[in-house]
Amino acid sequence: MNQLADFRHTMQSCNHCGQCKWVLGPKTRGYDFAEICPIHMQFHFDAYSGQGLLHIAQELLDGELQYDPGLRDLVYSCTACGACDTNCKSIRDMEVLDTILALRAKLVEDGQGPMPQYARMAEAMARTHNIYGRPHAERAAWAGEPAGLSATTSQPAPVAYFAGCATSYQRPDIARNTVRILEAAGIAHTVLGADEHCCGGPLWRTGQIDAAARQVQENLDALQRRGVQTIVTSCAECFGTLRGFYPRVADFPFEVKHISEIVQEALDAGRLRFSKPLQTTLTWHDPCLLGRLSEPYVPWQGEIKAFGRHVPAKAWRRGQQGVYDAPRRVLGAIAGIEVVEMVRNEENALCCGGGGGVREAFPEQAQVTAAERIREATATGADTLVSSCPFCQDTFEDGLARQPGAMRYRDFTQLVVDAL
Amino acid sequence: MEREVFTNPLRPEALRTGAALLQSFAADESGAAGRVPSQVIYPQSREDVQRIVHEAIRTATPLVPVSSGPPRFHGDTVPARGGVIVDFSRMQRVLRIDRASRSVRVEPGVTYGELIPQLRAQGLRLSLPFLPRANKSVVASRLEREPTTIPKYQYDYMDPLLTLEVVYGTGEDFRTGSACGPGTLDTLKADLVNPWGPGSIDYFRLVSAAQGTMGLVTWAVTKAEILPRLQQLWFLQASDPARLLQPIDALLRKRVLDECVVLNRAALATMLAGDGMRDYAALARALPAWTALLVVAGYERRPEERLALYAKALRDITAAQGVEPGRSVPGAPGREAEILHLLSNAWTKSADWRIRATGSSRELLFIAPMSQVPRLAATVDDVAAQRRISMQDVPCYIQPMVQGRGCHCEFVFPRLPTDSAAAMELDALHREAAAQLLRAGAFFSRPYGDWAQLVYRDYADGVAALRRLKGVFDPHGLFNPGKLCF
Repeated sequence: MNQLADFRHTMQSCNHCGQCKWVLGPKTRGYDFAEICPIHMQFHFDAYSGQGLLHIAQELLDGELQYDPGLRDLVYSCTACGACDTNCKSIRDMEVLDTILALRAKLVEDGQGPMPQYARMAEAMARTHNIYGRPHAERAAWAGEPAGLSATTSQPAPVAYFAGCATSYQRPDIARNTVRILEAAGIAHTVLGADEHCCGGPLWRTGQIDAAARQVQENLDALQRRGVQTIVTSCAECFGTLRGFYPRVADFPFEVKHISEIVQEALDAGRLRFSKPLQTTLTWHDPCLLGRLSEPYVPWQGEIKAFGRHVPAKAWRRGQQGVYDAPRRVLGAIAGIEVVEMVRNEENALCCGGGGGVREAFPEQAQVTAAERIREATATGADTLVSSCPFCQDTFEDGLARQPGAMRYRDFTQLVVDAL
Repeated sequence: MEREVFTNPLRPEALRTGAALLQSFAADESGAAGRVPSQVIYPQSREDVQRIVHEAIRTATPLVPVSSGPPRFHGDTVPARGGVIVDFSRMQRVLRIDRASRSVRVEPGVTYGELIPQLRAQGLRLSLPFLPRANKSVVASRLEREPTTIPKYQYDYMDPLLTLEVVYGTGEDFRTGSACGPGTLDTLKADLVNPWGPGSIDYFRLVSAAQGTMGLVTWAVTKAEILPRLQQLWFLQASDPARLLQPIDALLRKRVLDECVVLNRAALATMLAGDGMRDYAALARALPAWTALLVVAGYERRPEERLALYAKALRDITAAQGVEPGRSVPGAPGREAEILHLLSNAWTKSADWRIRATGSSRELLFIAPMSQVPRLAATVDDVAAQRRISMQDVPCYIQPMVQGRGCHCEFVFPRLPTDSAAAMELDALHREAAAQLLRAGAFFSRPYGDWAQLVYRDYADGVAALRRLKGVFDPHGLFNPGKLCF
């Protein structure tokens, strides 16, 4: 079930209720911060929403809509954040986000997509295995001097740290901090080093499925060679991709854990202790792929009967089993830290605005959403915005640069290392 | 120990015990087995209802709520175990017409016949069920999930029902959705239109289609819509309903249509026939086998332009589907204005259109996805053929719901009240057709009478859960015992 035609039931079931654009009524606290779809809150037309994209998908399938550049831009303006999917699924059994991703894949298949930026990214990735086109040899440079991470090896181990492109090339501090945390917790681990390729997430989410699947295979081979059982990530994009995409295209017998879950387990077991207080009031931004989009994908084949009854029963990913508690509990355990919540949190968190390739293709659009999220974060009274996604970090830091003094951004791993 | 007798907790004039009146509640068109109630009590406020419930708790007396006038069709108001009829017909206040929020708050005794003109005076209308009888309670109709003729305004099978005030079986009152508070109705800032909640449970679903078994509703908010300035009626005709449902699906997907209903020739002839049904036979001969009544409308802003646009869309989309729309009713030209009037008002030609032919009828109704309706309707034809019952004069109407995501399909079997043999044969057809429909995938969202047994028979887990819920909201088992799975 990954072809666009597989999602006809979803397209035909949409009854224009608009729930894909709003946080579910009982979970709102008023009109402010009640909207949830980044593109609908910006462009207002129904076409810019989960609902509209479902209709566009159906019209394309039925031959009632023809391709043009405007259509392509519209389809790729979506951040693929999955808020529509989660809110739709709060009242219905439909696969809104999977339909949108299948729509993108169809655009690629029909030679109408992706956006040029993503096509260039795929070309670079074929050569260098990372989204930036940087030399592959530099991928594991974060583990060398001056970090002095003596325990970082590429030897076989049951636990592997998967750093990802953005962390390896742009945010090496996150990788180093993650390894420091693993060492402090006494967790023997391996890294993939030069064998690590992009997780494939940016390709998957821009409709370039075949190219993404090639990355999957490379990584699976490297993991299996090292006898890995558990993959640890510090990047939400990698985390959500490993859990949500890999099982679609390959056998995937690995456990995937986020570093916040590792820290929480180590704290609970007494293997890790915080010794330094940090005086700050922070608010946690739930990255889409660590939160609502991080539930493991379970392949389903069967029959959709009248009124959407799936036979056999389907394991729906409704976004409520994301990694929500661990980062909050860990940060709350650091002396001096107060964690305050934004209105839109957990499965209803607003996207940073940069997801799904939007930051690359539509940077100004991404900044409008980021500004809205920063406004929400500021309204909590927090002085620090914390998350665990280098892509969110890029988007937020762009946004905060336009609002000097509003607040600062910190990665989760930095605060944990500072408190050790 | 002798059971204590229910004693009128209200004003003396609020209670009636006349034999003829009591007898009138002991049966209805469904033939459901029931008992004669001991009393009929007429509350006029929520406080009255609470007093009635407290007295019923004290005396362990079943309470059967009734809001609409006769005829009644589904057995849901027939007391299976006796008790007291709580007749809401004197709770007749239209509490609020809110044009800005397009909603109206009414007590359960307000009927379509009363509310339609009041809304029209304020430039509003209701999305009506197909030919609602004038004495039908608006609240009961919404609670019963009677399908409305404008699927465009329906986003959920519960629409157009919004928030409610309910008195539960403990005597406590409760408001659902955004009416829940905090504060009183006078201090609430909410407009009472969000039906969901409070919390994560949509309490209004518990009382909907519950046949009065979960609580007594003392007011409800229902959607109202802007009154069109211009309307245009179009017709499609075909020998097979599937040929009509395909273009209707396309039209609804593009949100072109307002009213939209598909009728077989018996239904349309029943609708159009004059006094005494004298011209019924001639009409039935002239009308096509199936006719779709489709309305496009223009509202307050640029109505002519909108109407022209929608009419063009209607023509283009139906042409693409190979169907020719017309402006004149096929087989009965010149009746277009009358049809539009009938679709927009309460039915007044007789007590109810369903009993027009013979004075009595038996209904078979279910919902299904639009694509499945022709196959399921054919199932009913097959069962009738096996039993050698003619379907020629059996009205059937197909009502797209929730923007065409589902359809209500209703067969109305005329019955001669004096012909008991034919009535028995009809009962047997009714039972067998329902069983076959259920097996074939029809959904009985409103499991009246015998259907409840069919629906709940293979649903043990659901029944257990429903009974636990019933125990919470009606812990003394007072409300309409013997209905559904209670």
